[in-house]
Amino acid sequence: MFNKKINNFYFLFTFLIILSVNIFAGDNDWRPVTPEELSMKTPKVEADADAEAIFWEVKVDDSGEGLSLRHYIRVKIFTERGREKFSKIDIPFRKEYKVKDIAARVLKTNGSIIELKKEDIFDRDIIKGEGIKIKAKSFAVAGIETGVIFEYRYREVLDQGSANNMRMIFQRDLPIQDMTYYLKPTDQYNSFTLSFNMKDVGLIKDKGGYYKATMTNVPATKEEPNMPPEDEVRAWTFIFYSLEKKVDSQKYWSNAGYQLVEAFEVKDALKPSGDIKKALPEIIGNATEDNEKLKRIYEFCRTKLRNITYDTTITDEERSKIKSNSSPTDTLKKQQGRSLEINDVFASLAVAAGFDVRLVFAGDRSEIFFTAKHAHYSFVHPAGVAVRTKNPLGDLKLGKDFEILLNGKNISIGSEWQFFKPGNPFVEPGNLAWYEENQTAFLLGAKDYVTTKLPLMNYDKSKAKRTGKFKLLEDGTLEGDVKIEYSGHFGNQYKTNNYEDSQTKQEETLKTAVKERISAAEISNISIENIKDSTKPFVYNYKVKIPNYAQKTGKRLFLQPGYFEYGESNEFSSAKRTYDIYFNFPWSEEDEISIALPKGYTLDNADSPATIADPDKITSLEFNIGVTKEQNLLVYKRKFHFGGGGNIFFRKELYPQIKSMFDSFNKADSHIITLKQN
Amino acid sequence: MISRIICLTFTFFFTFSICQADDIPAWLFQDAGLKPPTYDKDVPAVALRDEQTVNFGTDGKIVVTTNYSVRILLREGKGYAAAYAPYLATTGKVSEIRAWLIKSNGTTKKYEKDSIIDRVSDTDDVYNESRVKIIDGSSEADEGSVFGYQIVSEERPLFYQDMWAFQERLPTLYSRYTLNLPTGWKASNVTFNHENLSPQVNGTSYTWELRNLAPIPPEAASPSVRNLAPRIAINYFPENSAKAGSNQVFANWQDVSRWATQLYDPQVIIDDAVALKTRELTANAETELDKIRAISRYVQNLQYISIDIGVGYGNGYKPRSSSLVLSRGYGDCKDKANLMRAMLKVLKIEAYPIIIFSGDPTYTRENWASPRQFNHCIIAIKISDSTKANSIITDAKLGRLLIFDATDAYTQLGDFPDHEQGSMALIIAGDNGGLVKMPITSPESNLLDRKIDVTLTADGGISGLIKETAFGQTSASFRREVRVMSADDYNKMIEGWLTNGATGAKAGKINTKDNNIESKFNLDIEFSAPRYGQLMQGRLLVFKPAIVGRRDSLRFTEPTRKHPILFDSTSFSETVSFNLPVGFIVDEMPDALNMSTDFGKYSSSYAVKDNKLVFTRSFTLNQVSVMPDKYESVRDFYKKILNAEQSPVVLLKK
Repeated sequence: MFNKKINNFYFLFTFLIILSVNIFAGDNDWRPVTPEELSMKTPKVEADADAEAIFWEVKVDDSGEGLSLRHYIRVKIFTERGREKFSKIDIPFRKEYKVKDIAARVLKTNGSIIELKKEDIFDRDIIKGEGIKIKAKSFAVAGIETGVIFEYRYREVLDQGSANNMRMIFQRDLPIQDMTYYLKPTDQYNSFTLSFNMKDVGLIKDKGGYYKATMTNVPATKEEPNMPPEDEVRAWTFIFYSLEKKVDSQKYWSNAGYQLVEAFEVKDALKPSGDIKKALPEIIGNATEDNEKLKRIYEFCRTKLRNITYDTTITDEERSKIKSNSSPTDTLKKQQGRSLEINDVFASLAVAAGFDVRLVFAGDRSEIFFTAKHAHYSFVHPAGVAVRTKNPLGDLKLGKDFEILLNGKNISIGSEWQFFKPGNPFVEPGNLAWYEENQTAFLLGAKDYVTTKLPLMNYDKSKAKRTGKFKLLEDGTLEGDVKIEYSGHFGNQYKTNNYEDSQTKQEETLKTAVKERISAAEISNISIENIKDSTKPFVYNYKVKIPNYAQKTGKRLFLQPGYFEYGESNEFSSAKRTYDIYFNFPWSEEDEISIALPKGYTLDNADSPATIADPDKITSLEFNIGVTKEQNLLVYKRKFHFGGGGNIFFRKELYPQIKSMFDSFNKADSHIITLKQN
Repeated sequence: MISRIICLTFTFFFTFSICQADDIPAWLFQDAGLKPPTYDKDVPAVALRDEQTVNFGTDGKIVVTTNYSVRILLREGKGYAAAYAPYLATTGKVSEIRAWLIKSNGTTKKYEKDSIIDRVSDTDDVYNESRVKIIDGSSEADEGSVFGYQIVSEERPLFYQDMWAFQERLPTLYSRYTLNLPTGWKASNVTFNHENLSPQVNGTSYTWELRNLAPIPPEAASPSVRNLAPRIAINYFPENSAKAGSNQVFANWQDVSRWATQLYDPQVIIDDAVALKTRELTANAETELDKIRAISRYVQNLQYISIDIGVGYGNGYKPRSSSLVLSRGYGDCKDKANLMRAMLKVLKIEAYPIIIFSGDPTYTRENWASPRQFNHCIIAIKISDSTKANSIITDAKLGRLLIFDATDAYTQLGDFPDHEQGSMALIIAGDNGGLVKMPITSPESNLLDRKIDVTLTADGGISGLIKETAFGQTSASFRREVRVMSADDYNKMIEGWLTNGATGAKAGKINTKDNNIESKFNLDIEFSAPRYGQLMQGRLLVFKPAIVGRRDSLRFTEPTRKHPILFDSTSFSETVSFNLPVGFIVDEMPDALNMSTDFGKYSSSYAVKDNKLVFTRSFTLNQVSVMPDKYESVRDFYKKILNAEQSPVVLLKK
């Protein structure tokens, strides 16, 4: 059913344009190089750049039969790394494409020019097989060295292509002085752009039927820890076509909402068939309360319908051959379905049970922070099911005063909605996946739809609860039992990362994670629980022995009681920051560690680190260290949370404070206590 | 007995019917019935059969038939359910590739022609004739399933030589290599990593076989699997040598040298451009070493680009002409060595190409004379007695030779890449050539010397300067870091290294200096770290004198060891001077540590004078191989170092 839906969806939104291709006069000439460009000694955009594009142009011609993209790049090489990067050019392309008119040359500082010879361009079949062929045109760049200008150009032609839904990437992995896209769109539709992380200047009319967008002094993209997704930081523009003369986001979604309802057969899902109604009484049994009914429907979908998407007993090939179901009734009848089909069965049963139900379409925060301003269907995906109840069970619910937009009007449809994603065996009932929270979503009903902003789950719901019962030996060895329970989004992540692995690999993953912190750790008796049970936390149990965990000097033992933070370092180690700071979701940790102390030693010092917190309650780290009356058992408690008040995004200006805060956490977590020999 | 007969009969019919239905060969069904022994639980798959038959025809072609089957034991082993058939696009072909899958539930599948993927072997090369046909069954293979394939390929060998490894890392139940020769031909073999294997000979058919081979798990600092898995090297030759035709039969290493010389020597072409460039580069060079260095730096900095055309005709062993490489400004290892040789010839300095195996110094064996033992090309430069360097060997026929790898952009003249040190390599010098051992540089020549001057404050904060001087191969690592990473990433790497040792550390100025002549690299870092030491109850100040890590990442955490440990030759010394806060005295210091073993030495010491604490540590590793029965001593050595470097100093407030 999913494939069918996708096909319908594409039918609704995809346009194929067939016109003629124009060839541009003058596009096969090199442009003059200025003396300034030749003598340039240092980069203009970024001081430490290895190479810098003086200009990078892409000329997109969608006015004819097919699509033509003409690339022209002029680069100045400053360092050996820059030379290495451009010493070899590969232009890969699929069989539908043609790559033509390749030309390249190196201009040395003394004015000499080395042109690429035609015989030095190699055609390569990178990969070929039934239905697949990837080719490449490749060449080595003769004479490339530091100080030179290297420029090359080529043309890609796609016979049946269109610029509709194309991305124009303005920011790349090297700094660019002048990045320009030219677009000659089809005249059959109106073209529109959505710009991200750049000034939305739109396309300015240029010569020869082209429109132009330019960005100057564009720095290179970078990688930083805890940064927003790539599409949220680099500059890019999305092109799409429409028959409308003007695209208003409100109006767009008003139409798109109905089209999504059609494409994803929402009405079918929300209109229970006779078979669904017939099956319901047995599923809900004697439940009378709303929540109990929903629980039983959820349990039925989770345990009685074979989830093909996540079934590890079948191979990928077998999975791909299983036919899509035609309706929730079909799924019910076959007692198996893919993730979205199981969601639909849940929705259908819930409607049959008398609930007000909507299908949820949300953005994906791991890709881009979606809002309704992003007026294009490709930014949303089917996320789950929303059900209105009086006393929601889940952690994710709409606030009481929440206003929603219904077909352009603000109305209230009630506050008590809870969310279900029964087709994903790792997401707890009442929740959606982390990347679906905290952004605009559409709750599609059979007759209407609403837009809303999905809330963010509180930090106490995504928790790592860690318990250690240890014994410290006289020689500094620490040994004992560990239990870690991951709930909420933590649990979801651990389950998702482990469910496809064999038990051996799952255990190896745990061992590797511990040894990365404490290389001498010896792990045994591992048990892992609830990998496929969304209703329970993911649990690790294991025994650990660590020789020399505590350091012994002549008369003292120095011990870091915070076993779970031992060997961790602050990933915000850099003093500089380019991008904003972003965490996927709020989370918390709760540690309880007991350590039986060795005979002949008593506590010399067991100061607790001071509590670290901020006035806005975004974060807090607190400790409680104590010892039993007999002075033989140390008890260490640690509570931590981050993301209070839904604060998971911080502007880069706050980086010094964030870094300093995490340095303080790290310091407090590596706090040492002293044992003295009697 | 009756039930057993019924069972066998049933099995036969079952097998037969499926064979008919899915065209599954009987040998694969037979393999699927094998019961492998129980292995360690992390063994992902077991090779049930690894069998190759090579038919050498009188037309000089060989037809190679490979039958292989593997049982998947873990989900992570699914990737082994794939058939790979490498071939050369110009001179070879894969005439047949077929594969089948018997799933754990007994269902079967025959892979049709539309399952075959054909791709380039190396996507990095600008052009390479080496390709591979693949049938990938990994998406369908489940735990317990058996995947099998048959590949028939044809090629025209350059040499009458072949190699066969009886296994890779997987345990292998049955491995066999058969060579069928025409009448009047013979074969001989040498055995590596196993006691000598003799073939079973039937007329001119030779068969070597091994069974029940244990898995070879990956281990830190281990020899490569090539040096652990049993393998044979085979020579075949006509009893009447006149029938050998144009192909080479190598009786000894001089034969190989003579053969390679006729490929290399004609490529040394000195045109005006080569001569002019040489003179330009060496215009200011005074000594022999200065001249060689000037040329080495130029050639080393040429871009490495590999374009492999005509490999099947022997071009893989032949450099491009020196004049062409100079004009293009790029080349592969052979091209670089050859250009350097031509330039040196302009200066009347004799040089010889060397072919070597890069990546495992113990790979090449003396008792099999064959160019197939090598994958890389470097150069030997004949020098006078006045030239001194760490990478010099003396050859009985050729005299003093300075060994240099022009492809390694980070190892400078006079030094030598550690992954090639001690290798047996072939000097290509006609009758005077032969196999020689490459130099091994001393641990001291690869020293990392670190001096840290730091001030400790009463609240535990530190600030100071780290000065590192790296030599030899250690300097090559430093050079690689600074060249491969962008300036921004390099600074982040330094900051990350600092904060791993000292929480919240901030780097100030970071200065690097590369000394080309002495193969030396300097790195100076200003740094500070608030609250580095922990103040307890306002009277005890506890801190670790080993502020930052040694930079080597070798760890031995597994309780047992199966294979030898290979150490590289390296050394490290550090002196940290702490200016102690006024009002504090040293209450406790860790004990000094002194360890000396066959493979390495370690020492640490502490001294207090004039309110200064001086911590020193030194660490030396020799280029040796340690047998697995000594593993506990290696582990203990590293454990003691780890413990010593974690040990704190305690200051007491007066």
